Amino acid sequence: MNIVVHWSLHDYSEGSNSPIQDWYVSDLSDAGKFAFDALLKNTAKTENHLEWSGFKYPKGDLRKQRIWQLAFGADGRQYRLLGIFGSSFRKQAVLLIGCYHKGTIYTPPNALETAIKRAKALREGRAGTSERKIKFDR
Amino acid sequence: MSERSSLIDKLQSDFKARAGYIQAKVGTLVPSQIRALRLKSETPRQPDLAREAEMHQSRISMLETAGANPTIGTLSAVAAALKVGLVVKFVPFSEMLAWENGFSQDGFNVVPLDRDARFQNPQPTSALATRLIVGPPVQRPRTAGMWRHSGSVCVEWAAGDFSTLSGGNIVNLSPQGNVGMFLHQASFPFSNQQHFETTP
Repeated sequence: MNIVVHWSLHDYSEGSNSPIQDWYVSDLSDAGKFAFDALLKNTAKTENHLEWSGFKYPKGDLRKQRIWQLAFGADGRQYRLLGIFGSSFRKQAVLLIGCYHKGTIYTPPNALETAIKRAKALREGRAGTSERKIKFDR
Repeated sequence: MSERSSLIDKLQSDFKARAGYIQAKVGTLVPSQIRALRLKSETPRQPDLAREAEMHQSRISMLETAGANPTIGTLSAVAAALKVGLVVKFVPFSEMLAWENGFSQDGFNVVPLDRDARFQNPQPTSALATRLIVGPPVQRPRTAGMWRHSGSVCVEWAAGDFSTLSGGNIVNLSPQGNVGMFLHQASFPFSNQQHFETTP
């Protein structure tokens, strides 16, 4: 069966720094990494973003900035990926930050503000992205 | 060491890593399946599925989120509400990875009970066979439709559902005890959809 990968996924980057990859390597357990990889693999194959598992536009300032979230769980934690869509004609999703939360407490605590800052930096051309390859051997 | 080798080493040596790996696949694809089936159903709203499954809508939302960890009882309730069946089976890691790689939420659909013609009108067992694989040696038919075998025989009743029959047991293929039908030809000298009889 031929599976179509509709979306290219990108990490927010500042120069050579990739905060998403840093978070992935440093903050996620093995189970968290596996869940993250599985979520993104499935997300990239689902054409309509409104049908992505765990997708929604949060209320408040995030929504005003057209920042969406993807939710997933691992290790008994509720993780959130905050992102925006790229302006390219291709289907591009850019991950701005990863975090987890319990109630209204987010870790890192400034995750929402950071996402907004990064979205603005991208739109103003002060930051870039690097493509995250979907791995089909994992 | 390559990333893949490192992964394999970890999975082979670390129980928690294996459990996390499995949970990541199941915990992503099961919610995705529920979401796909709901969206393709005649009542695609979460409250409708929640009512059918006798659950709160927030529970359906949670079950459609990656990382959900429902019990088999909960999954059975959702399957019942969607009017589809549910299979839970243990498989090799390679099969689990292939399942993940080949899965598409967009393309995933399941025939519901009210349109499940195969369930509503089950065919005789022999007609369910889709493929016959005969191990050597096999004698060609002495007459049309007649054959004799002396090796092991493998019958595929449906995709991936095999039975292995040893010589002499093939009479169990049909209600009559010695008549069957194949829909496809494999390593078997009959044409498609041909009846056969076995010789004792």
